[in-house]
Amino acid sequence: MLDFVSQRKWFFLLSGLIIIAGIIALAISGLKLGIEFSSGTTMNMVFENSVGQGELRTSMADLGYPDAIIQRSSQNAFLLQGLALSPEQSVRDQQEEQLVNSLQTKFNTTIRIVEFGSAGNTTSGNATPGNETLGNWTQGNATAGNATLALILGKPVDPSDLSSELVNLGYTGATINQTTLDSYIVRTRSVSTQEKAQIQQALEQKFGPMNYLDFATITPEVSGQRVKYNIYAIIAATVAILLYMAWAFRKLASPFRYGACAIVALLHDILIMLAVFAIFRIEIDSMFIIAILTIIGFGVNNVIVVFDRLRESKVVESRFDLATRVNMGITETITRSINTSLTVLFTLFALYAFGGSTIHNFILALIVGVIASTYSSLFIAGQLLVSWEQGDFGKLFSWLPIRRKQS
Amino acid sequence: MIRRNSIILVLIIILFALAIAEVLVKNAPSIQGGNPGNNTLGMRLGLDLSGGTRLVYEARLGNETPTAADIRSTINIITRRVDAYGVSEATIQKLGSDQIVVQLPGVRDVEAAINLIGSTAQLDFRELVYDSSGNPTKDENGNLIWIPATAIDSSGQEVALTGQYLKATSKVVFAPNTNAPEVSLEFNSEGANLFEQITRRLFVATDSPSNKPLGIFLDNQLISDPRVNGILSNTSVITNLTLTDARNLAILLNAGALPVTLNGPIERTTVDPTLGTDSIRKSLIAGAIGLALVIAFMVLYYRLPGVLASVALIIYGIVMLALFKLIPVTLTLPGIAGFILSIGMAVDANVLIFERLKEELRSGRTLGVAVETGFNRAWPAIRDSNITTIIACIILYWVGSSLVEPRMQGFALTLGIGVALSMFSAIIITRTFIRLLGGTNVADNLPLFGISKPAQTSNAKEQE
Repeated sequence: MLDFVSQRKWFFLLSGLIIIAGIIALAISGLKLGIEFSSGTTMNMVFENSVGQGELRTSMADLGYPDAIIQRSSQNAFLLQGLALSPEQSVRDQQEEQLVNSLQTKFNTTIRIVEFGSAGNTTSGNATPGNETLGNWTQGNATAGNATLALILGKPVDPSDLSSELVNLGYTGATINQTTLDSYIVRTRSVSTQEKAQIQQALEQKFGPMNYLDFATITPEVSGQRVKYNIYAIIAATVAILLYMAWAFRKLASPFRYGACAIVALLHDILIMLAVFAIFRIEIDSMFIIAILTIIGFGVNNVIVVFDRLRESKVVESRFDLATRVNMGITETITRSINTSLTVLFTLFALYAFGGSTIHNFILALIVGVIASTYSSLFIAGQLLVSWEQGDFGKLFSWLPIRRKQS
Repeated sequence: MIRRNSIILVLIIILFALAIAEVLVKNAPSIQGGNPGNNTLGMRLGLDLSGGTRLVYEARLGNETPTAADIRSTINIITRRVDAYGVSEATIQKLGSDQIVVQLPGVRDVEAAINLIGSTAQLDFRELVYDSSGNPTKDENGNLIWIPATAIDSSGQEVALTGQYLKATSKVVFAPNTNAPEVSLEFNSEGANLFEQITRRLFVATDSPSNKPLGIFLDNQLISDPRVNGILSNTSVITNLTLTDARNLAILLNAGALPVTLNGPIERTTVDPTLGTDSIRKSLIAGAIGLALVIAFMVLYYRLPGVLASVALIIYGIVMLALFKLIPVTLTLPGIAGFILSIGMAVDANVLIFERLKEELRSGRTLGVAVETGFNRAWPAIRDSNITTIIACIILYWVGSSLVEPRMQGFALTLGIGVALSMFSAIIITRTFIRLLGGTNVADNLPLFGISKPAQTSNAKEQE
């Protein structure tokens, strides 16, 4: 029988090292928080004309956003001019939606549409607010029919195919230019709707037509609330699991220890997830919290399967000591633990590889969590139980520096 | 025993058939009734899949905190506005004590929606003040001074004419001569009384010029200032509008003014609808591949029981989809991930049982006995581990509802239902299948169960 228990200090040491590396990474650079938790605005700006990163940075600083983080990317696009679209915003929205849907089906890729110089926010800025008309309401007006549309494509498409498809859809006489558009993901403090329009107006004056591909903003108030609730959730889940486990193992001596060791194993899993995200500077958002809570559920699942063997009557009644019993439990369940984790990992890898980029980081967090929790259920949780019974922790604290070397 | 097992098998087959019907029939009934979603399977889709915008506003009432009743009526008014604007399946919910979350699926023109939702829509009528020489007075900046147009109501009080005296029958009409868009207004009887007094005063002025203008203000912003050319009572029109503005104004007037002011949006996130469509397609592919990998693993590792578990897994998957539609669960990207993850976890119960089954078979028991003891021994671990996962899901769901965060709710709901159903799948479906083998000669063929060595020796070795 393999011995999982007596060598436990090495397992503790390995986990400790990963966690310490994570803590160092956390201390040096901190977690990279998404705007959901740190508040702020991320906007993806697309420009019709070429714009340099430095120029944009200067302009953003001039507009009062000196701390803006600006990331450059470019977009495969087609510029369409002279498309006969309605000047009325609501009608044009529908037309554009139909256009996108048809093209998306035809070319089997993501297609997004951006209007350049559609007079949307730009001309509403020219109307004098507070006088005569509902000036700042007006989004579309008669000039919008002349807007240049940018079709942003997920993969390259032959221009002649696009042209013939447009004719099929009833849009004749449009001029089509294949191009690469400059696009920038800009992250700043939270920007209000008015400020958004002001930024667009100012940048258009300087760089020519520009529009937002994405715009997300969250104020500190909202992000604070999120952080608070998420912390509540993690605490509530932990306490609930501790209590349930104490109840499930109530027939054994000191049932709370089983829950407590399971919780330590879970904290270990969470710390490893945080460590990996801190070391690789991956952004933490709500989805990460979902991943943590899932791993809490999944990890405790693994620990319970191991601990379950400790409460079986034939084991409880045996004359073996706890260390041997824990070792037996791990040996008997290791196949199951690995097999279950493998099946879960299969589905996660499938999601990671084929599930689209929006859930990449979420799935990555789950993959790290599943591996960490499989490890901790086999090499940490039961061993902690033994260490607790044998008073290892007391020894560890009294002779901490020497103890490591002696092993 | 065999008879009872056959009955359960028939019930499983009926359940499976019903589930397939529920999934495939587009307009299959759901418990809540109402409109199913608009994609092919008729599932309800969250914003991250349908595309759309999430807006959060903060309600303020001067220096006071708005009451729950204020928030309720604000939500009602916003709902009427959004409905009239033509957004199907929008949801407007309270968040915390004084915030309102508006989710608008599929809206492309977010700025217009923001103006429509955030506007207090307080309509009022004002008049100018004239000096002794008959010219309207201006403030130090040269702007005209407008004061509320008041009249005597039926109880003898002097009151200002505002939007509260309007019937909810405003609509966009077109001027007969110019074809310009206008919004028609209809006053209730008290409003008609006030409006008549005011128009009479402005039309036949005894002091200075007659045909004075009447200022129509929306949220303290002048939208129209027609000259009064006659004495009017129950109807009027607002002119000088673009078509879009006229349409929005009619919506705002009919929905009524908000009892609070809305700050914000303090949160604003948008998912482009095309990304949503792409995500659904990719998730379906990922789900199919994940399921195939799990089935391949189960069959290769556990042989015959693996095949049975895979059949159980497919039944599980279809029943899950049927439940999503029946309840109905709003599908989100994390929700789909939760579902696919639950496929992986559903296998766990089977794995636990099969490992126990193998142990029992190795110790030389017959299949019939081994199945029963294997299931019974595996049950406490399955129960406890799944209950803890469900606890985590309940908490996740609770946080998701507190934050009005459908992605979190969706994930918690799909994973929670999945885990609960997987217990049923492993305990009822897989067991019934394996029991069916009990009386056949398959039961003697141990390699089919992934056991190669003769039973007694391997068992003896393990005991040492």
